[in-house]
Amino acid sequence: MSVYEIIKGHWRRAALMAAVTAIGLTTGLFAADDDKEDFVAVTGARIITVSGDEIKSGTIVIKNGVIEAVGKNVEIPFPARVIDADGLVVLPGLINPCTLAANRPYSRSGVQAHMKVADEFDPYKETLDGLLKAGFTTLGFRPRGSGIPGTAMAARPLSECGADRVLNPDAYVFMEADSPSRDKRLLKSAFDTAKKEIEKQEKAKKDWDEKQKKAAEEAKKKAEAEKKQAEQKGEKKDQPKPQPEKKGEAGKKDEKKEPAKFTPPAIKPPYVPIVDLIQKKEGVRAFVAFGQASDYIHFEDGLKDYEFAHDYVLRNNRSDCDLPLVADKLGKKKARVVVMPVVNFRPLTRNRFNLPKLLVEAGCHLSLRPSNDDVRAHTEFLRQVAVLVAAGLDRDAALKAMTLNPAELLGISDRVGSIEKGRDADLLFLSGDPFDLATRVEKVMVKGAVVEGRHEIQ
Amino acid sequence: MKCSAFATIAATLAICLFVLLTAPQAWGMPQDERKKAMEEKLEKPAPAEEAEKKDEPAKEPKEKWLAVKGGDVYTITGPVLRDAIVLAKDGIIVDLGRDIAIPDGAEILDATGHRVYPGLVAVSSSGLLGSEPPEHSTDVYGLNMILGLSGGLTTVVTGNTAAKLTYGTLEKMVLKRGLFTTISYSRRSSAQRRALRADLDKVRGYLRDVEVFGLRKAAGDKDAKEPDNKWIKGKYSTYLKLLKGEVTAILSCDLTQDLRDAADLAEYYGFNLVIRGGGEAWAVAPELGRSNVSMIITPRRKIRQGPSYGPEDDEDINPDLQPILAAWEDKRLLRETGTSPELARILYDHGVTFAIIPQSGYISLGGITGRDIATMPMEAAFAVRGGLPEDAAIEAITINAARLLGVDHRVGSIEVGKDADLIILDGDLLHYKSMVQWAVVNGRIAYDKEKESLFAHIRPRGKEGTEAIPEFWPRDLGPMPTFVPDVEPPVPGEEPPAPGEEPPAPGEEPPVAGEEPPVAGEEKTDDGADEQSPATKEDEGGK
Amino acid sequence: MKRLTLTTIVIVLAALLAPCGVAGGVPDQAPAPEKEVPLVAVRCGKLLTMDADKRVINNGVILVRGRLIEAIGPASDVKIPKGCPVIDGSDYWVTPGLVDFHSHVGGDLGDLNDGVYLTNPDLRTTETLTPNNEYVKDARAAGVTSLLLIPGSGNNMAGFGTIVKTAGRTAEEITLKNPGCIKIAQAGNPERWWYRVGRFFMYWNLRTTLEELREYHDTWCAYEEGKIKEKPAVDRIKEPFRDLFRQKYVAVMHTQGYQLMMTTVTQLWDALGIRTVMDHCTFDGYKTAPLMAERNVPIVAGPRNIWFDRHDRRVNGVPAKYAEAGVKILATNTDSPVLPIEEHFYQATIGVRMGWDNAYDALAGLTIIGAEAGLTHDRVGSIEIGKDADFAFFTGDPIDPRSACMLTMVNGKVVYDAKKDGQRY
Repeated sequence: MSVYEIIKGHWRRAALMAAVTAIGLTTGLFAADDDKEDFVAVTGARIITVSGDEIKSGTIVIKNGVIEAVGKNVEIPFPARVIDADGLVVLPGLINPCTLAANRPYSRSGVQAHMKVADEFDPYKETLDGLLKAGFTTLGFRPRGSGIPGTAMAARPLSECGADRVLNPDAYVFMEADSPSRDKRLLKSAFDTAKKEIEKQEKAKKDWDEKQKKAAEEAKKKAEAEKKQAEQKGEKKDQPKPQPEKKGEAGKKDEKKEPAKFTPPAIKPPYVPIVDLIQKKEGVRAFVAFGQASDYIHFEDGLKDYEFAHDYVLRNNRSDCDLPLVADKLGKKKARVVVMPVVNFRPLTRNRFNLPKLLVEAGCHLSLRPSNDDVRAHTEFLRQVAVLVAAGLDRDAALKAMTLNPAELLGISDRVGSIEKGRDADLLFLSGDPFDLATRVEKVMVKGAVVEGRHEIQ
Repeated sequence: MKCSAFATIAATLAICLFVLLTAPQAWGMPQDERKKAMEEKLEKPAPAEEAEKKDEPAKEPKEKWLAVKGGDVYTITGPVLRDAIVLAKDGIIVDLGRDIAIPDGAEILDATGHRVYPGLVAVSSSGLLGSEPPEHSTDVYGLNMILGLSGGLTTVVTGNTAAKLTYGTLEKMVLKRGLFTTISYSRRSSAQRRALRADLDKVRGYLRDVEVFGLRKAAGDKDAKEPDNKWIKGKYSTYLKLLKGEVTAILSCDLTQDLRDAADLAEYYGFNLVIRGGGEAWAVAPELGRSNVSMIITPRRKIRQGPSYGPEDDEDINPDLQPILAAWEDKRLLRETGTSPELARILYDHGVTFAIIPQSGYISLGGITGRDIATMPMEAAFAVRGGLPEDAAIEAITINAARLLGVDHRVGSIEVGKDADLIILDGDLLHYKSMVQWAVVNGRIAYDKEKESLFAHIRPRGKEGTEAIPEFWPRDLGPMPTFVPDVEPPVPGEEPPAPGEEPPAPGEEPPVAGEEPPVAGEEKTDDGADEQSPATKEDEGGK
Repeated sequence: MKRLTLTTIVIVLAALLAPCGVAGGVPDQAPAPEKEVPLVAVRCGKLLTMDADKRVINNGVILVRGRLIEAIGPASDVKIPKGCPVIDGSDYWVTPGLVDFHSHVGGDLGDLNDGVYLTNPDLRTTETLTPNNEYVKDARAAGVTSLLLIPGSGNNMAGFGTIVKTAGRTAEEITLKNPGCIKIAQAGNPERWWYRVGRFFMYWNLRTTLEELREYHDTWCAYEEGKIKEKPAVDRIKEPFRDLFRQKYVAVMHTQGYQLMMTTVTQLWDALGIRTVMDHCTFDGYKTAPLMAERNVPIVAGPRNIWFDRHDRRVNGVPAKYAEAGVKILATNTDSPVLPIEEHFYQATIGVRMGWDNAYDALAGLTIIGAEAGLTHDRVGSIEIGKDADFAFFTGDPIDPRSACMLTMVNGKVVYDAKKDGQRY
């Protein structure tokens, strides 16, 4: 018997089997597809949202790795994996906006702003794991070298390539301003060259526009002349236009039909980001790094003719740090600064100062980063910030400085940096208050999945 | 039958299609869509915070006024104005006198009981500013700069640039670049001298030709040819500027012959010359005065190269020693010390303009002060020692130094129209106890002795003096050990008494310092240790 | 006029010579002078005697007989005999000749750190004196009339120093006190000259040497007092040290810094009974000042005159810190040729500038304290009757660099005259 006949005989059964198979397939497919509607709920935790108020005992509902709801009494959808975080404190994952950790970028000198860390990220898996374990879910991997060595990348410390890894491949252009005698001239000449490139482009555009205008006028004249001719010829209006014999005429006709596109002369690649900076392109910013008060004065003086979005990376882990001298200047312009959590001695004295506190009080937008690029510094980071808070740094400012503010600097604050609806679920579970020295990192969650934890969660 | 089978298959297919369309992930295809979606997200503009982040910078007040009032103002180029006001606007002195209206909002510096001098000018220095160009390398918060200001300096020369000690800012730091061009004209190399004169002759010839050409052209001579000037580059262009008076030459020499030759050179070719060193200038002062050279001198400088000792008459020296001594002494010197303390006075009497500079141009906090650039007024005081009038000594570190550098239109004295570079002292500039209380550079207070910890504790000003930090360690060291001669070695066979044990029979017991501790349980009686230690009764011995 | 009789001549001469013989009722005059040695009178515009009463006499007169001072007082009280040569200092401030208590320029600079052992108790600078060398001429031109010539600090015990005057042709002529001192450097330089020695070793080395010397002295004392019967052996090298323990001369200590100065006080002053004079005393040595003040240890600070405290960011004047703590015997030195000998006064100037606010004490440090430190204050250091006629004439405040030294007298003779010989400094 043929298949047809079998089916014909048992068509109800066959239909039932087919239906069941189809349903099975679909549900199976759906089952295999687990980020379709995957819910994770974190319950019972003390939630520090950073962007809003603290919630003493609340719930976070995460859908497909994105926070769906945060609150005291939030309905947990079914099905959801529930993580009981009773007794734990939940923070947004820590963000280090400027580091060389876990990466081995080439050291470059001169103006190399177009070189991207995103293109040459060469991670050490152990270090990345260590960073995650320390609680850092996002880092700004910066380029290395002198002058303008390149463009940094904001990424999660995941060693596998995937959609979740890179958050911003063009986070910021990194500039060194540590030594005025070396860097000041370089930066100024870089910007001057970029300006010249812009002027070159503008001139080319102007020339092209003029050319276009002239051509248009000529074409207009020609068209009028032809029109007159055609009118003189009378009935021959309907005749199809004579085929062009010369190629040149074809070009003219093209011009008449659609205006050619203006291709500006190419900008030298290393200067493209700087041109963007000068032209204040959205999303393009620079980080300027230095360690001494006088370096700041020199930097501002060298680039005083240019206005561009830039934030400051202050290397304050030196014994001769005299940055408090410019704290008020930075505060007055509400500068965004990245500082290390160190309490220094004023040079040659026994008086200590808390630079992050001084900057916040002066009005700066503060971000904190570990004082070293190794895993150990990241592990110690929370405790160092705790010391700063004990020494007078405002607690909320400190919390923001580890999470939301660095996210803003990296341009990814719509995705990470706080616990609210719509943000990626990058969470840090601590065993106690973040500024308690006995606190340990319990779990680290990236996009809703626990990637590091003392208690393994399935 | 066919219908139903067809229907089943169609249904199956429909269901499969339905699966296909609604579960794209399983089939990998819409990976691109996914990528696109992500890219879209990334291209989304960053939160528009940067635009609002930087508020309008606080509007700087339109004009910055500074009034220094109540002090005795030593203008240097004019009279001393007692209890006068110096009024500066945006770093320039606009008024000077007693009855001056001070505008509202002006910063007021009360200098009552103090003296106001112009900021000092150091014609050479090192370490106070960065390397040339100083406005791109100086640490504007540096300790050396503060020390320079504490010594009263406001204008210093670094390399070939005259710049100010603008603490905390780079504004208006540089006064003048390309101060001098160095030439060399020493008897040690006659070929070099000939070459220099030949070059200067050539350039002078060119200048003459230019003048002749001008005259001829004016007279209507058509054949007049403009002199060729293509060869005027490099050193020749420098010499041209020199002969035209646009730049000043500088050279160093000490010996009378070299000084005379340099003066003659300057006079013959008619260019401005500054001579550095000039150890024996006291012997050729008339020539120097006539030829209008200026000098940079150090009153305390000696150019004797080494010790010379022995009998005063050279004939008595052991001929074997003579080569050694000859190596030490410079027999060309007219005096053993080479210079004279009266050098400054003699130059002054003959009308030679000079600036005074200390022995070392850098500042050291290594331990010896009083000889470096932070105590420049002391060096000028040493010129007074040789007979120089005090006013001239002060001029040598203010206006004459500025004249030498060609910046006297800006600094060097307190006059209306000049820069507001002032120092306020609690006494005579040349007195050893006077210290700079405030230093004003470009109308800004760049140094305040009380606020700067370095010297605030020395003769503090008023009640704002810093509290003395107690730093003595009055640790009581306890009773001093007396000198004890060697302990007698124990007689062999006997064991030396172990600590804590009952001492052996009296007589052989070495003296102990103090009582033995009482054995546990035994009472310690008031009348001493008679029962416990017979040895304590004995002579303590030793000293 | 009548014929001159012998009587008239005698009467006239007697009348002229009478003031010389007038004694009693006039303050500060010695008994009748000897006839052989001529008298010299010095007029002073301002006379700073630097004596215990801190007397300053305006318009004063000093009478000098030979080498010694015979009379001091205001011009109204001290009459200058007719015919007496007068040195006119009536435009000058006259001070005692300055005394530099730490210098290496009286002799040969090349032998500064000569040594056979780390401790050289037998070396003597008196054997290397070079009178009238260029440095000594500079010293005279600045009013320095006596200096201590010591060996360098490259050895723990470098040898005996000599206190000399800055004028004289022979070593004997210039010697003021020999031995002037014993030069000891416990640490702070010997470790640079001797390979691989450290403080443990150097302290031990010095202490055992001195204890040995002390024992020699004590044994001899015991013998002399009759406590010991057996005559101890005479040791030629140890014999000169008996006077050290009798405090007839001092031990000049190259010492600075807290730890070193404290050890000097405990090891030498207290334990061994040696009169030490602390030289240098720089860096943070001023923290031991209470100990010094307690015991009245002489401090001769210099050549470093400041110390930059890198913990409080302050520049401290070295003598100022000692003065603050109450040290009374305080002087400054040049350690020439580290600083030129003629800038001996300038050390006091800078000392005052940096906080030692009593200028009189600073001048005393240049003169009488320097003499007291070396135990030569019976002869030099102040202008008092019976002391050597060593004077310096300044055109004004001696510690103001604007004042020049125009005249110097040593042992009653003018050895430097700026107007006649040209101003040397």
